[in-house]
Amino acid sequence: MNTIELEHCSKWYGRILGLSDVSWRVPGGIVGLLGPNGAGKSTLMKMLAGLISPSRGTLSVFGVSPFSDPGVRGRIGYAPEHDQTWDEMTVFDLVSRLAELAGVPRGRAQSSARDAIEQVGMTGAADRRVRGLSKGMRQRTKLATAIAHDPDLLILDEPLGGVDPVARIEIVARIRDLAARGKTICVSSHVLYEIEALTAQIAVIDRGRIVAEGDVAEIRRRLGHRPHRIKLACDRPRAAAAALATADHVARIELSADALIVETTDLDRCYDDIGAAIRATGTIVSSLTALDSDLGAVVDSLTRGGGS
Amino acid sequence: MTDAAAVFAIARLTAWRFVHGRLPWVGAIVAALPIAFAAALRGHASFAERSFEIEELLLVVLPAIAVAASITSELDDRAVTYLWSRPLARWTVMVGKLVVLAPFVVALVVASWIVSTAVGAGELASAASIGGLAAGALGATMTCAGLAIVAPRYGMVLAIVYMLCDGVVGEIPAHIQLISITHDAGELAGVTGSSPAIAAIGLVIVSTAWLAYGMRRIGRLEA
Amino acid sequence: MSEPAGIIRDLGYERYAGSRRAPSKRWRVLARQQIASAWQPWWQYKTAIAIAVIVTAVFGGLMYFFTDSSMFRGFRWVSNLPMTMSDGAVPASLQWFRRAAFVVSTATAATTIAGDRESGAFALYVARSTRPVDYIVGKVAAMLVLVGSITIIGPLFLALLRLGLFDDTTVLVAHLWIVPKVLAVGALTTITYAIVPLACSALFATRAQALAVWAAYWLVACSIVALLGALTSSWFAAFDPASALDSIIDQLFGLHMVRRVRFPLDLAVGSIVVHVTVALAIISICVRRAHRRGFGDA
Repeated sequence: MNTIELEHCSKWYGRILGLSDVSWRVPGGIVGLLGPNGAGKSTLMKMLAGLISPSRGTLSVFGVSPFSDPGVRGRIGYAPEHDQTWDEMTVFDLVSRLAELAGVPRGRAQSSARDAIEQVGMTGAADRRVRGLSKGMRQRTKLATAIAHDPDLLILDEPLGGVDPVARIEIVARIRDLAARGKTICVSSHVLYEIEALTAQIAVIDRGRIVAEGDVAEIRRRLGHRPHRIKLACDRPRAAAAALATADHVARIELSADALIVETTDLDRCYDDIGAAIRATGTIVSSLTALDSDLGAVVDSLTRGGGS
Repeated sequence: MTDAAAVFAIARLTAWRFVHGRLPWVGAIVAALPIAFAAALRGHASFAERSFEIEELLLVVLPAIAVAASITSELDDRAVTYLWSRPLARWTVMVGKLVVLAPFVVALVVASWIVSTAVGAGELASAASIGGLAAGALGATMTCAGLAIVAPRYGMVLAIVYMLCDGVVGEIPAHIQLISITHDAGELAGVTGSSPAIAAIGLVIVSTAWLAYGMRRIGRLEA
Repeated sequence: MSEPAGIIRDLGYERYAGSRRAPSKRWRVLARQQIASAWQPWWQYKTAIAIAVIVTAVFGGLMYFFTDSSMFRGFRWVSNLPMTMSDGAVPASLQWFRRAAFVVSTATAATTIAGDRESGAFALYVARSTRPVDYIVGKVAAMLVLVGSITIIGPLFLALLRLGLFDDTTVLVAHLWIVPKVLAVGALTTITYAIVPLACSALFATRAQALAVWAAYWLVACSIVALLGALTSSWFAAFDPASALDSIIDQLFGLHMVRRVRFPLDLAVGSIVVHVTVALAIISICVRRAHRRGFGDA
C-alpha cells in the first residue's frame, strides 16, 4: 500500500486554483516537492496533513482521508512553513504539549519531547521561550514538534527556509536519520540544492500540477528533446569548439578563456564527439561537467516549458 | 485519542496559556468596574434599580474578550495548524477552551455582582439574581464562541457587536426579546418580566444553537 | 597604491531619477491603503455602511410617510410639546448613526496601529522614509474618512430630505439651520469615533488587547460614568463622550429627552475636545516610541 495516494485532486480557493487534477503516489522514503513560490506545494502539504480537503478528487494517507478521519493524523507529523506558534511557551512545553495532543500519554509525552528536542539538537535551548529563538532554532523546534509523537509520515514544509548553513547541515542530517529509521518523509522547498542534499526522488509542481516525478536523472533523461549542456574546462577551448561546431546535434557553443559550454540535442553522440575532438586537437582537459544533471536545470526546464 | 481525552488535553493547554497570559488581569479589571460604580453610588436610592444594568454590560464585553479572542487568535495567526494536524476532532478544540474559559467568565460576572451588591446596597445578592447572571454569562460565552467562528479574523468584533444588538433586541416590547441573552438573564434574575421558565428556554435555545453552529462550522474551516 | 582585488565596480543598478512624491504628501499613500484594506472584508466598513443605509432608509421612510405624526415617546421639544416625525427623525437618527460608527471604530480604528505592530507592517513603514508624523496623519485621515462617511453623509441626506418636505419656501429657508447643525454634530462624532479608538490601538502591541481595552473603556467604563452622571444629575456625565454628544444634539435641536443628562454646551464640546486631544497625544507618543524602539516590538 502506498503511504500517500492522490487521485485527480484539485483545490480551489474561490476562483484561484491551488491544485489542478493531481494524481500522485508515494510508497515511502524521502520525496522532495519542488516548485517555485505559489506553485501549490503548501496546498498539497496542508492536504496531506488534513488541514484542508480537496475540492475534487480523493486523497488518502495510509489508506484513509486525513481531513475527515482524525485518527490517522496521529501517524502524521507536520511542520508548517510559517513560524507562528505559542511564543510564550518554552521549547519543551510546546513540544511536550503538542505530543500530548497527538495522542502520546501525558506521562510519556515529556520523555518523548525530551528525545525529540535532543534529536534536533535543541537540548541546550529546551527551557528557552519560543519567542526569543532564532530562525534556525525555530525550524528545529518545528521539526521536534513534528517528530515527538513518533509519526510514520513526516510532512515538512520548507524546513530549511531561512536557516544558516550550519543549521541546514544539522537539519538535513536529522531528516536523513529519520528516513533511515523507516519514516516516509515529504519535504518541500523552492531552493533546489536543499532538496538535492536530501533525496533524488522528487516531484516537480508548477501552477498546481505535478509536471514531473521520480528520480532526478530519470526525469532528465526523459527530457530528451530539450538541449543538454556540457561544460568542458580545458587549455584550448577555441580549438575544441571548432572541432565540435560542425556536428548536427550541437545547437550552440559558448566560449570563455578556459572552458566551453556545448548545448546539444543528443547527449550520447555529444560525449563521443567531445572525446574525438579532444584526441584530434590534443587538448588537455581539466574537467567535464554535465550542467543539466542538477535539480535546478530540471525544474527550470519543466516549469518554463510546461513539462512533458 | 478519545474525544474526552482530546477535550481534556486542549483544556490543559488553554489553562496553561490562560494562567500565563494577561486575560485574568484584563478580566479582573473589567469586572471591577461595576464595583467602582457601586462604591460611587453607595446607599443611593436608584442603586438597586440600575446596578443590574451595569452588570449586564459585562455580558457584552467579557465573553467577547475571553472566549471569542481565545478561539479565534490561533486561526488568525495560523498557529491553529498545530492543533488541526493532531488526531483530534476540531470541535474538541472549541469545547476544550470553553471548559476553561466559561467558568472563568461566569465566576468573574458572579463575583462582580456579589461584591457590587454588598458594596452598593450593603446586602447579599439574591440567589435568583446570581443564578440569572450566571446563566446569562454562560449563554453569552457559548454564543460568542459560536459567533467567533463565523468570521475568525473579526470574531471578537462580531461578538461585541452581536451582544450590543442583543441588548437592543431585549428592549423591544415583543416576544422577539426572548432571543436576547441579556433580556433572558434579566428575567431569570427576576429583574425584568415574570416568565423565567420561558426565558430559560430562550437562553438555552439561542446559546446552544450558536455553539452548535460554531462546532459544525469549525469542522469545515480551512487553515 | 594598488586597487584592492575583488572590488565591485558596477552592479547594473541605476538610481531612479524620476519624480518622487513629496515627503509632506506621503501620508496620503498610508491613508489610501488603510481605506482600501478596510473596504475589503465584509466585517469592517461594509457592515457599518449597511447599518447606516438601513438607518437612513428607516428614518427617511418615517419622515416621508408619517410626516405629521407624533414622534416616539420620550422625544419632546424643550417647550415639552410633542414633536412631529418629520422634525424629530433627524436628531433621533443621529444616535443610530453613532452605532454604525461604533462598528467602524471597533473593527478598524481600535485595531489598526496594534495590528500593524503585531503583523510587522509597522516595521515596513518606518524602515522607509515614512516619518512617524506621516504615519499618524495617514491613519487619522483614513479613520476620519471612514467614520465621517458614516456619521455625516446619512444625517446630511436626512436633513436635506427634511428640508425637501416643506411645501413653503419661506419655511424651508427658515429651517436651513438644520444643515450646519447636522454637519457640526457629524464632525464632532467623527473625530470622537475615529481618534479615541485609534489611541487604544496605539497603546498595545496586539489587536486583541487593543480591542479588549477599547470595548471595556467605551462600553463599560463610559456607560458607568454616564449612568453615574444621570443618577446624580451632575456634569460628571460629560466625561462620557457619548453623553456629551447626546447633550450637544439635545441643545442644538432644542430637544428635551427623558433620562438624558443635560449640561452646558461648552462643557459637552470641551469634553469631546479633551478626549480627542488626549487621544492624539497618546497616539503621537506611542507611535514615536515604537518608531524609536525599532522593529519587532510586537
